[in-house]
Amino acid sequence: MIRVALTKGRLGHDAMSVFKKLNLKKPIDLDSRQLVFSDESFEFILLKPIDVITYVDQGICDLGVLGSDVIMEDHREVYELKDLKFGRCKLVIAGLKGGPDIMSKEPLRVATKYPRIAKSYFMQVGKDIEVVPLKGSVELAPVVGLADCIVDIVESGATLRANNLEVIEDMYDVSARLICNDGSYRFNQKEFVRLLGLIGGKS
Amino acid sequence: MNRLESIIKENKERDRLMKVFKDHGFIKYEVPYFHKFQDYVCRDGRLALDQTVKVFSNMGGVHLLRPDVSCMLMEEVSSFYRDPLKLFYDTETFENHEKGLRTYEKIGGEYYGDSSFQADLDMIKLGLETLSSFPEHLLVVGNSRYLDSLLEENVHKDKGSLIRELVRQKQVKSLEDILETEPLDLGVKEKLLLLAGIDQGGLEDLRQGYNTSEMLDALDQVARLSKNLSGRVSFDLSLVSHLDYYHGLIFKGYLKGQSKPVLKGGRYDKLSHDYGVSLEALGFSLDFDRIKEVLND
Repeated sequence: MIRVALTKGRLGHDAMSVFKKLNLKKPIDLDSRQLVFSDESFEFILLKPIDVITYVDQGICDLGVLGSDVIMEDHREVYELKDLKFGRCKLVIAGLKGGPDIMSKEPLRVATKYPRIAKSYFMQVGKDIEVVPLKGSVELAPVVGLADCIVDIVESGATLRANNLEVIEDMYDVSARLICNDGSYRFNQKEFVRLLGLIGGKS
Repeated sequence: MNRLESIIKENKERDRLMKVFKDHGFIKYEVPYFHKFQDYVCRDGRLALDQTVKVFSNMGGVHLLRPDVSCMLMEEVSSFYRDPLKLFYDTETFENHEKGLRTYEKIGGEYYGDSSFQADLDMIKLGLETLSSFPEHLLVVGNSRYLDSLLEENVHKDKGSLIRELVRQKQVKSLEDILETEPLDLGVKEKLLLLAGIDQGGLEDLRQGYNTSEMLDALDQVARLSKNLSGRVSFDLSLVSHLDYYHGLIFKGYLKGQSKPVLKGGRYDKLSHDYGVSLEALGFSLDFDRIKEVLND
């Protein structure tokens, strides 16, 4: 039995449409309140994105599907078996439209849900920052003067525009990844190769 | 299972492991508690300095509380070493984390003064024997010289460390992105992506495509080991150690249901140079905390 951690919401639905290629025998309704779905050789568990990596890292789940932004932000080590190519967006630095050059600000206050990524990115360009950690509505921070800019994921850019913000710099491309832990990789390698073959592509 | 039953079970497994080492001619060695701070800094030890536990003597001297085993044993052994020597230990190391101090129980063995193929083979077999209490175990064997040589011959050192990490973590997408901007031979890129991917094929498949003579040497050694090993062993030429001083043979042991290896080992001949001697060494260490967890599951 291979146990897979999926996220609730759109990423989970996209992931399920990939796993359906494995000829699952039972119907799986992700919109029901059920959190565990068992098939013959798979079991799917629905989790919050932030928890997927914990379940995989601790060996509770063999596989997981989640965004590369969450993997990058986390310090734990997981293997990335495949870029699933859905859930695409970008991690960007954004600030007030027509605002001052952020690189001249000292100290630069950056509001974000991704403090690790933000710190290491600005460190690479030699800029020390003060992170303002937020859990949501990050776009609000520059508008109300809580921060000089934000580091966040952007899909269409509509939310940025609606809040009078613009992209200052693209940082990383983000997409959904199929992950596993070291131990499950070792014991299930042949099964994973077969699975990747069925859902398309080796890597 | 109540606490007493757990303790009895753990003791039994500990006694079995001690017997395995003794039966193979290993002598039990008590690893010292203290390591001189200054020496540790000079030799760039296993743990980051902020993760070590410091002890201050009343004269103001600073010592570290047993940050690791292999380095401390090498320091001791380099002063009295004579003949090929096999030592084993049952001890704990100390680390300092955000949440406070932690101890880690380690049981392991070190084999000094023998660089032969037979020594490598014997240690791998011994590793397998230490895991034999658990029906579903697996030992994965590799040789770090394969990936090291591929990178040293083709990539700048800084980029090399980054690529090595990506191969180790099987991050194929990030590796592809980096390789896109690197002016590398197509054969080198293909070999790196093959090593990072889930399906390396067999050892013979790795002989195809780009190989340096050192890579072929490493491959030969692993192929020879595979001919002499049977049972719960697999081979992976992308296996990398988190310790810089490992060079050549490398192996890791896993138990079904555990996300991380419970056994880590390999050859580390170069470490002795830091202690002013030239002494071949190979060994492995068991994460006894994790083994206890599995016993009590």
